[in-house]
Amino acid sequence: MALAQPAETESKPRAELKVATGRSAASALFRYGMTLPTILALLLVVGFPLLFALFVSTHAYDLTEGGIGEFTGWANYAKTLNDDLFLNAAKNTAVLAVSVVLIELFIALGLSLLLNQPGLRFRNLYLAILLIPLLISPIAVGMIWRLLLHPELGAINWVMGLVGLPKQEWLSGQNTAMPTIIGVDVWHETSLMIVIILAGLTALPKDPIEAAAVDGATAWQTLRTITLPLLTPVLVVAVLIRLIAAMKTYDLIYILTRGGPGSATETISYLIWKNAFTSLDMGNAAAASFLLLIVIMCLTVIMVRVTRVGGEP
Amino acid sequence: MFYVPFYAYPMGLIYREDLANDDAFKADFKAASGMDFAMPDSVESYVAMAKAITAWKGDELFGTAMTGQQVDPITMEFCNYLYSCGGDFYNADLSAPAINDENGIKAASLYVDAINNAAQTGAASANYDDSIAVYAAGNAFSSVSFMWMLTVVDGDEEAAAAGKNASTLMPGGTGLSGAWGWGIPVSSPNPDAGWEFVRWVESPDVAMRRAIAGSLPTQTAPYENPEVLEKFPWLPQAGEMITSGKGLPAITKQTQLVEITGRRLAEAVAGTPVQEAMDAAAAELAELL
Repeated sequence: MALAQPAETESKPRAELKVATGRSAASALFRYGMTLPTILALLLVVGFPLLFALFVSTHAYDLTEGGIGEFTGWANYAKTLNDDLFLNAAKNTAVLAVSVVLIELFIALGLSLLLNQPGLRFRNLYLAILLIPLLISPIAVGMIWRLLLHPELGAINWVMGLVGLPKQEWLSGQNTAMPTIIGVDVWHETSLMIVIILAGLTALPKDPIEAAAVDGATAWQTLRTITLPLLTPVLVVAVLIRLIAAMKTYDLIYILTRGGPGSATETISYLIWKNAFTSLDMGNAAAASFLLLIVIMCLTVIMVRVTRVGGEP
Repeated sequence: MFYVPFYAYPMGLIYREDLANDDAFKADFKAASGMDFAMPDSVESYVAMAKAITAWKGDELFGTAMTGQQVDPITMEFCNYLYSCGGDFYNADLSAPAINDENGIKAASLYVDAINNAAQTGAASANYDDSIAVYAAGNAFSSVSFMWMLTVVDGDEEAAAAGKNASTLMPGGTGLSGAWGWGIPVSSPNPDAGWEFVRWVESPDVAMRRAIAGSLPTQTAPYENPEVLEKFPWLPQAGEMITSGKGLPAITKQTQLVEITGRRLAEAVAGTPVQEAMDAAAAELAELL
């Protein structure tokens, strides 16, 4: 009995461990089983198109010449990177993306600070009004603004005429087309930035701000030394989300200018569409798509890192 | 089966007939411009007339409503200038570009001159809807456009220009003429059924019914049918445009041709020297052959 006791006590944990291991394996199997459909769906709708696009980007593929042609290696990438139209589109994309993000950031931050004021009446009403543009699809936004900006029949030039200002060629002038698109994008997308920043402001700890008020800090000092530093991770994420979206701007360009006048408002996404569906050159379009994807992935990695750093205690 | 045309798309000149027949308008035009008013018979005289009207009337009445948006609108409109100036995209045997020859440069120069000095504000980014809206509102004397636009204007009772219009050939005589067509792909699982449908839909009776419903016919009989002509009195002019017009070059890469021409011409409109823009277009067009 004396000898049997230890044997019994030893075998019990082993048995429990076995059961626990079995449960753990079953649990893992269950987890993987539940996520498998999602993984398969992602492989199908994201993985396969990406791999196919990568395959196409390394082959000659002109839709007017039948199926996928010979392997060309990096030739499509080299051609794209040496293409003046692509470089011009890259410059336009950078100008558009940086401009809209900076302008939207300042407007959204200002409006969010106003909406976050304690005791503000009709806050939800103001917020609802400010969020309306976010609910409209970009194509509808483009159509609405195209009508408003019509040089002869649009409301904006009509109002300008009432106060004695000359008609403007908003979308056809070399110097006005890009600023006009930036303005329309800001009108449409600032709402998203407001949502993110306002959520960040609402979640900020109240204690430091109240302590600063007790110590006699001015509103500007509180904003500069407490609110903005605490809000920085949220602002960075908001900027990156918008930057990534702005880099892909296509719909507004398509509706408002079709890349014109000349190539003054042609963005990379619009150029990719044109290469694919006007020039029917799928190889070059795929190569340009991957170059854009690389830039966007870099921005995404930065965003993920910032999010993790911001989330650490 | 490769192609059986079923809907014609001829382009020509739509203009304000009421003004063109108004003696007071003509007299005021002469007083303002020093030119006798006459319907133009060449691209040069058309652009000169349009510029004179715009210089005289300003925002009230532009000489022409134009469509400078890339890529289809600007290229389709330019084809009328190009063909009527005697030019073309390629030489006769399609072995080399001709868009930058003497006629091509003349056509492009006149087009750029017209869009910058005779057309409505913002014409460089205008699509078909934009330009016809300006014309329908009574703010333009003319427009080089598709014939079905006439139905759009005359059919809108609220349009200031409704019922005051006429159409004619593109000044210079040769406009763009295109058509949609039926085709049966080689991969069709049942080409015989496709062919049976095409035979039915293009049979004289069905084609006539489609013409009465508003389709611009590609057969000759509807152009002589009293019922069709009563409904669409401008149809004879459309027929004339089809027979005198010219289509895009018969090359496989037509969409690329339209894109290249539209982009390079838009650059010329935006300030690039015409010769430089057309030389660049010719270099790209050569690669399509």
